[in-house]
Amino acid sequence: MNTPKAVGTRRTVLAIAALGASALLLAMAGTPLLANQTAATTPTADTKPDVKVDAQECATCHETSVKGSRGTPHASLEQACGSCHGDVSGHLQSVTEKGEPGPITSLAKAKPADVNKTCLTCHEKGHQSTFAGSVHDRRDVSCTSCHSVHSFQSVRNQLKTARDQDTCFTCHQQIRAKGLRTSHHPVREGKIGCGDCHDPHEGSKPKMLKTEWITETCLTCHTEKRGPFLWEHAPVRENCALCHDPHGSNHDKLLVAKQPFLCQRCHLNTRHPGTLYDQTNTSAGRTTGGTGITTVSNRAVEHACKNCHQNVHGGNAPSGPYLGR
Amino acid sequence: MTRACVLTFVLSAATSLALAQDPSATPSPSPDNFEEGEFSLGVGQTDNDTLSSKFEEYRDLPNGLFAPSFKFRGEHNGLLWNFVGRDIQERDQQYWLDVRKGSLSIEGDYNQIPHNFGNNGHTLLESTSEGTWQTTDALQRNFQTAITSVPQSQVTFPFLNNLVTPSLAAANSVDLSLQRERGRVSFNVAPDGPFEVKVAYFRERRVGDRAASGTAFGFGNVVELPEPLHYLTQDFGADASFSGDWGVLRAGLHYNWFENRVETLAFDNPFRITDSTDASAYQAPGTQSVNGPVFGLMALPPDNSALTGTLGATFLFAKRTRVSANVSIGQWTQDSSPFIPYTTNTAILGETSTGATFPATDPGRLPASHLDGKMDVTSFNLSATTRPIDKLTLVARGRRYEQSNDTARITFPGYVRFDAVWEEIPRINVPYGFKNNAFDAIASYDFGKVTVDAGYKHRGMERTFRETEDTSENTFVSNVDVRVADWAILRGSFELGSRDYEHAEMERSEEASFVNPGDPVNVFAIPPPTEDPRFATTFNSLCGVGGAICNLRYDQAKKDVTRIGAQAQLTPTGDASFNVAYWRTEDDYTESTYGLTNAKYDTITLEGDYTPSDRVTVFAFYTWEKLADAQRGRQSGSSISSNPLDDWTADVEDNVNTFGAGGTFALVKDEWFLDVSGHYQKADGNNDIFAPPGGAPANARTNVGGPTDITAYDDTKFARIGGELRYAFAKSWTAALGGFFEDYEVEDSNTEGLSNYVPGSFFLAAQDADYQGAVGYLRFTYRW
Repeated sequence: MNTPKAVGTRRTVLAIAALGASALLLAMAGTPLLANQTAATTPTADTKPDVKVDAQECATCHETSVKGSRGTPHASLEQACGSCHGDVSGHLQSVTEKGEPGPITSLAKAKPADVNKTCLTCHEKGHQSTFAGSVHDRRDVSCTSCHSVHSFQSVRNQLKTARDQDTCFTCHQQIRAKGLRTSHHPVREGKIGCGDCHDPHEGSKPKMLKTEWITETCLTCHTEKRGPFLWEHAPVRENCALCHDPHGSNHDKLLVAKQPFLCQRCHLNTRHPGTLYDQTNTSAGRTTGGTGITTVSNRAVEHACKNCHQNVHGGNAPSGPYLGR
Repeated sequence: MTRACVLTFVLSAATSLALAQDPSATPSPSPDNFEEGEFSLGVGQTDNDTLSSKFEEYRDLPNGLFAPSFKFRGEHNGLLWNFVGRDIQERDQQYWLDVRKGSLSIEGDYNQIPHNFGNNGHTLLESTSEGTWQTTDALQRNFQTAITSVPQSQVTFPFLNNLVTPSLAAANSVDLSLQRERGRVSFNVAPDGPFEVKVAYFRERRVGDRAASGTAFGFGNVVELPEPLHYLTQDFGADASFSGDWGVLRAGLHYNWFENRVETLAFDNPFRITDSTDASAYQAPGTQSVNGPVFGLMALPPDNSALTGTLGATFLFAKRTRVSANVSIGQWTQDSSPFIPYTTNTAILGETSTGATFPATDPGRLPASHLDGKMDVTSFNLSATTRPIDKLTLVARGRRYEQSNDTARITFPGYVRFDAVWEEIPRINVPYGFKNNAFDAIASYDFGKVTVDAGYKHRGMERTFRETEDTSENTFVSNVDVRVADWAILRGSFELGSRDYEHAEMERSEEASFVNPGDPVNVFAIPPPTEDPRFATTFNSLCGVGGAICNLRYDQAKKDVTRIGAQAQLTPTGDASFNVAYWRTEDDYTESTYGLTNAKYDTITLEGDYTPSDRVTVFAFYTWEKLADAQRGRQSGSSISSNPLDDWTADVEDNVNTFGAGGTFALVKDEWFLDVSGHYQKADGNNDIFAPPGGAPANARTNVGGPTDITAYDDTKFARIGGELRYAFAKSWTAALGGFFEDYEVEDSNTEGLSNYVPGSFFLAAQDADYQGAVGYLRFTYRW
């Protein structure tokens, strides 16, 4: 039982947390750390260029690359191309004098760990701060496996493909097959993407989800199912994936199995919930007896159990303990 | 604390940080003035050979003049802008905007998502206002007169079918469709600086009808209707981070609230013009009763809200050591939507625990006017990773997540079943909650050509009001990457785990909502003799004499988990790559003989791409999947059967094959281009049904030769082929001729051949099945 006092206490905690966060950030705004940030965002010592070379000079040979990053935050970095590629002045000198690349850092040829080290010099903040040690990091997925600074195709996040799912399907092919199922989220139509539920940089949460728990991920779009409700359905409260496969299914509503069999995995009650329904109870397989009564059952067709137990995600009607109102 | 206070904190924090920002911390942009953009315009034609909604399930396809996209992008003296639009003015239009200057940026997007569930459904009712579906009094009167003017024994399905068929022939047509309109805008301070502050607002409106609402008047009278939606979800919040070479501090506060503008659904009973009740009314109309209410009322999702605050930090140390901690505290509430009354049926009297009666239609007689629903949602994550030596990575993560349901419990003296009959069974709501405790530890060592991961995962669940108090799952995980050559990587993955439970009390879940629990009526609530000897015979018939508990639900039952994977990634030349992978997942419920007993998923994938020149790229893929589930049930009468012959099994197997291929070709360099792609998926499902001879399930089917497999369980074929030929006929102009063709066939055992009236039910039978559809278009694009 949540007393008014308990509710008030919790809200006070939240308020203090918000105030504390604000105060902490404000306090830090006045610390020398802020002034040191410029150093923190510059390349590491071993890659830091001695002389700044303007991107326009690089464009003499690398026109497509320079033009490709035009208008992005990368194009306005203080050290220009040298921010990521190291000693571009040495490279320019070597190319001019010897016809050799010289001391340039080619991220296309670098090992994943070195690529990530370069990118995380500036980007190890926000959720990228937990990338280190994540499953993507341990599997040698580099930043440039998915992102491109010079020839990105997506509207946001500078991905190599126009839609984020096409980037993800490069490795997660079985998810692409699931996405072609009859029951699916509008991923293949491009209305949502993998990044709506997953954060590929997030190393601290299961399945790299963006939220703290799988149901919270689903509730981002399906807020009407958040409740709490008068009549709750325990597995719904706990984990949507007990009944749904968000990547695609052959069954209505992304269900992992067809009703009534899905419901009968937990509800083998007396009378109709425990009853066997077979082909003869479906519309396609119905049979008609001598009285003209067909064997089709309203518990085995259309939405099956949900034909009556409509509020399966939780109900608010006083007469709805069986989620039928 | 009021909502206004929360927002004030957020805004004050964000504003303060913006003001506190040191301009020197922002990299000075080098002016690179430019403007570029493109705009496309075309004419298209869509053709669909059926009324099926599936062809345009989540999209709006062009007919006539259409504008598929535009893109404006540029920079002027440090002001950067990027504005992109797709499917302009279509139902699935989408826009992105990004404007930034120095340390400030504004991002926004707007996305419309149509969802077409079915076309041309048929119903005797019509929508008279939002949330109200009615039929005419004349039809209700005619039907009631018809079913009450013959002996009750004659009110059979053939009688009812003959009665309703003429009206259904002239029934209203309804398309089931909803529209999501979601917009988001965020104001970012210093997205590239040490301080990053984002204040964001999100708003989504959902309007339409969802398929479909099972509005029933009992077992014998389901009236399927569209479920009306008029939802509004909003989220306002702020996130801030401060980063340096020492690490990152993060904080955020979000308030998310959901409003339902249609909180109830009222729906007429086609068979009643006057209210009436009797003990069997929820089986009407039929040979047992012809009674029931004039109309029913259903509660739709109530308003709710969530307030969440987060605080976290990641600290960076030497040897790539990272330590992160994150705390999230939130509260979900549902306390503003009024309860609907027990019933709409004026003939029903409720009864208190003292035996006093009251009109059950009076909401004032409810023990509460609304729910005092509250959940405290708390999360704590702690993770650490390090590379103590160059080739060794160690990762440890711990987390605790809790949904503590503090919703007030309300005792009801009884309830009305399907607006038809008062059930004098006192009930009390059950505020389910849970805690999850998780711990992972993984070590990874790079031997040069071989990298080995090995680790351990623990997942623990503590639940309230469930059969088990605790379940604990422990898993050993390993992964081996072998770099056979610069162009070949072989990967093997293996996970082996098991889950166990503690403190099982079988009746705990089933009886929680009953004020006076009776005997268990669910196989999953039959206790072992050690818990309650009265049900020893039934339990022994389920699990064997002296057997372990075999009737736990699959979310808590003991299980062994196996995940095996093998993968080869080959790039033999710089212009070609191949990928071969096999994965198996199996959940084996080792002690379960009822409910789900085993679930397997196997998949093989082959994929390759080849780019022999900068003018040609081709790709192809194939995926084979096999899903296999096994479950067992027991059919019972008025009490749980103790006869094993009443058991039945359903073994489902789905085989899915998916092919795809495509290519991009520059036929004439910089002038003619061709893109083609296609895919085909075939799913073949079968539900193998078995029931032993002599049991109730088999005896009920003696006249049809016994239980029958459901052969066309979820059979689907989906093929798509498309292409586009583009011609750059001027420096800034491109013309494109393209289109695609789709062929979709489905045989789903739940919907195949469904008519508008079957025993006990009116169904909409909206069309969402087979189609052959095609789109062709001519598009011109101008770039500058």
